[in-house]
Amino acid sequence: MIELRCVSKSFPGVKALDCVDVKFHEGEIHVILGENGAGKSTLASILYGIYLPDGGKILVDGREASISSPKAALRLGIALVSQQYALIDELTVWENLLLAGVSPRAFAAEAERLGLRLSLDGRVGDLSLGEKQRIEIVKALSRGARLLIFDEPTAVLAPREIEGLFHMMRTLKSRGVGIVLITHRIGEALAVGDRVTVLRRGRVAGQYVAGEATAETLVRAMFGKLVEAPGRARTSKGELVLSARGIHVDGVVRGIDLDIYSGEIVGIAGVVGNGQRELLEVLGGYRRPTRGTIVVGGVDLTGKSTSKFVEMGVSFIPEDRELAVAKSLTIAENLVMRSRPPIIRWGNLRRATMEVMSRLDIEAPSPETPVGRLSGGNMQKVVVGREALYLRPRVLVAIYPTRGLDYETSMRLYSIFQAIKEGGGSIVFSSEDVNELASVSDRILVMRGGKVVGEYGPGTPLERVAAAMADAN
Amino acid sequence: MWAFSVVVSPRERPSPTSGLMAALSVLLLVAFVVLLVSGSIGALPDMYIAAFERPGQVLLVFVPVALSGIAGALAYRAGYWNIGMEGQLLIGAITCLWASLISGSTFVGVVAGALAGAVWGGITGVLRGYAGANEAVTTFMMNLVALQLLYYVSYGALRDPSVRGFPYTYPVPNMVDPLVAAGAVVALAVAAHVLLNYTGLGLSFKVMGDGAEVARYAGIDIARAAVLVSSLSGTLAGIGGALELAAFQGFLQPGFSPGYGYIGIAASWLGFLKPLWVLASSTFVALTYVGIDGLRVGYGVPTALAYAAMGMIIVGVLLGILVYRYRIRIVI
Repeated sequence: MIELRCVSKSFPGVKALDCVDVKFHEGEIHVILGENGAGKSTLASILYGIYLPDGGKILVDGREASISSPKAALRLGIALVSQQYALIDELTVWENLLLAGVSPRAFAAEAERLGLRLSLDGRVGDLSLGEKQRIEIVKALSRGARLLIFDEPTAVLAPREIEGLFHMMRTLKSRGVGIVLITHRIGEALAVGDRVTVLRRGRVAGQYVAGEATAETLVRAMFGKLVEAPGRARTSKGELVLSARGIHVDGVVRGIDLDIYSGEIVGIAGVVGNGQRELLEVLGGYRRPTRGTIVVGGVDLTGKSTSKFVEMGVSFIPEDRELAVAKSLTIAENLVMRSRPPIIRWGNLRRATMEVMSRLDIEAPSPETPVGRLSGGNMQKVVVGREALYLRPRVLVAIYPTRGLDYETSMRLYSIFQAIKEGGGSIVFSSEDVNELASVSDRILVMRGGKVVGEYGPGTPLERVAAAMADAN
Repeated sequence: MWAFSVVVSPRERPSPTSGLMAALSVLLLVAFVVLLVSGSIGALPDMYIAAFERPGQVLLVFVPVALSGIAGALAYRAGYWNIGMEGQLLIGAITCLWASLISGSTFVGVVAGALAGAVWGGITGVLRGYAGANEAVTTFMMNLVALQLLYYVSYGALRDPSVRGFPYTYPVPNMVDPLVAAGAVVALAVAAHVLLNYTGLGLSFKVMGDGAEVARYAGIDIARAAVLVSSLSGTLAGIGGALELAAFQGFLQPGFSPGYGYIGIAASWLGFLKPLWVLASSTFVALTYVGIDGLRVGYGVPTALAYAAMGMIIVGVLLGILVYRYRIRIVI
């Protein structure tokens, strides 16, 4: 019904989609699977008319079509079931429908056909996320949609609601509606997908029909050819630097014990959404665990403030770099923003800032340049410069530290990792790229379902790491 | 039918010509306003000459406006929307009078006024930090409470029975030299400047002003910082009120402040939210204020109109700053 032929899309510096061929059929659930940055969301945006492709063709019912706006997409019967922004909490369902130009009568009729009981009088803010999602679905159908795009729909749902959503998808399918499910979760692809297209770095890395794909084939397609981990000489175990016991975070991290020794680099592997981010946020002192203890350098930091972690030499590069810089402040101020001495000595700070700027090639006129004036890449370098260089960390905790950095800066960051390690510091980090993880780390921990399910030393075949990441997801 | 939209985008680097343009348009606007209310363009120079002839009067306005302005600069840099300088100033003055009457020392009174300002401002910080109350609302409400307290002491508690027919309070035991008061203002501006630019505490305020998310990541206790910045801001405004009483007016009455705290808000924005620049902007504001007052006398401009002109001049200067910093295009 809708076919993409060699569709490409580039953004400055990245080829988000590189000649992608996909066909979407009526009455079928088509899963687009991939890691973050694989191009899934770009694909959805092209289908939904937010981006125009740079190259390739889109065929709708065999005829070439241009989807230039969400309105045009809807005219062709394509709708996006958005997660957050489409409904206004303060208004009732009825008012929201009128606002969106949807006839409440058509909506009610559509809901009845699907066997859903939806009240129109309730305030949207009082509904559960699952209910909001159902309203979005019915809204799209009553506008004549026949292909529904779900972009990471389960990210915000509770397990029971996920079951409900999958049930709903199957109902829609049986009524001839086509479904595009965008996800990074292999388990979901296996559970509901009639067809699975795996994207990796903007390319189609594999297409499978239900029954053909196993967790392992999908992981392999997602992460690419797995090179053998280089058998690196393991430095002798240093002293214990960070020790975490029984870490729990709201059911996302479920009981993790972790010891990190001085002079080692620990990589955390896992398919996105298995609790790596939350674990690293806890280790970095950014998030308080719901249960568990953390000791750094012999000092119990359990429940202590972020500043206390910084004081004990724990650096943290968060996933969202936007929140790691104060854009209205200068580069120099951003460097001291986390340590904040009582008195700021500008002479020393200026000198230290210049050094960081030259080591990371931060392009800016002076240390007094507001960070908001820098390009995105340079802003990231400011974060790296502070956490990895300026603060002289004892433990550097980093979530996807190379994401968004160009190749050269990534390499520079890894050489900084080595320098920290040689100076007796330690690093715990996660990466989307298993190969990268393996080439930098002294050992890799694999997380799945909020637990550490395997620890691998140098020389482990990466197939085994991949299998551990995927198993029963 | 025709429609247009106005696009405002920040200038990469404000150009000298845009600065000149902004200054010229401000001058034209001010001249126009003065012409409008006085009927004579000669009133513009007359107005400022008159102001320079009354330096005491200018200082009387400058001291509370500048301290409110510095208080505002400190709070706004931290993203704390304190519009309660007026109330903090009144509480500072009331407490100053009360404490100096009890102790017999005006100096003790000024210190007590500073503390009272800290508490009055700090209450709103506690409400924001620990109860999530919007400070723009609470600080304003506190202004209304403070005003009623001023009426209470003027008409009742501290009314001086020897002044027949007027709701005047007892005077302070001894007066502070106006120049000492002005010197204190300069010293406090320098202190605020040092705090914002050379200390970790000032940096944490500025990070908070950049956004709560960043502040959390930086390890700043946002609730505690809100309490600190609101009470520091309140202290400055409180001193402003106490000095206004102790160095200039001498006693309280219902019309003690014609809104110095609110004028201070304008002064802090005119001064780019930088304490040292606020000294300059407050001087300008005070000169204009006294000058307009002179127009009232010399040109028979009605009082209400004179104050309206004052407001328009401040708006005009703020517009000038906007033009200087942003490109404004009309897109049809």
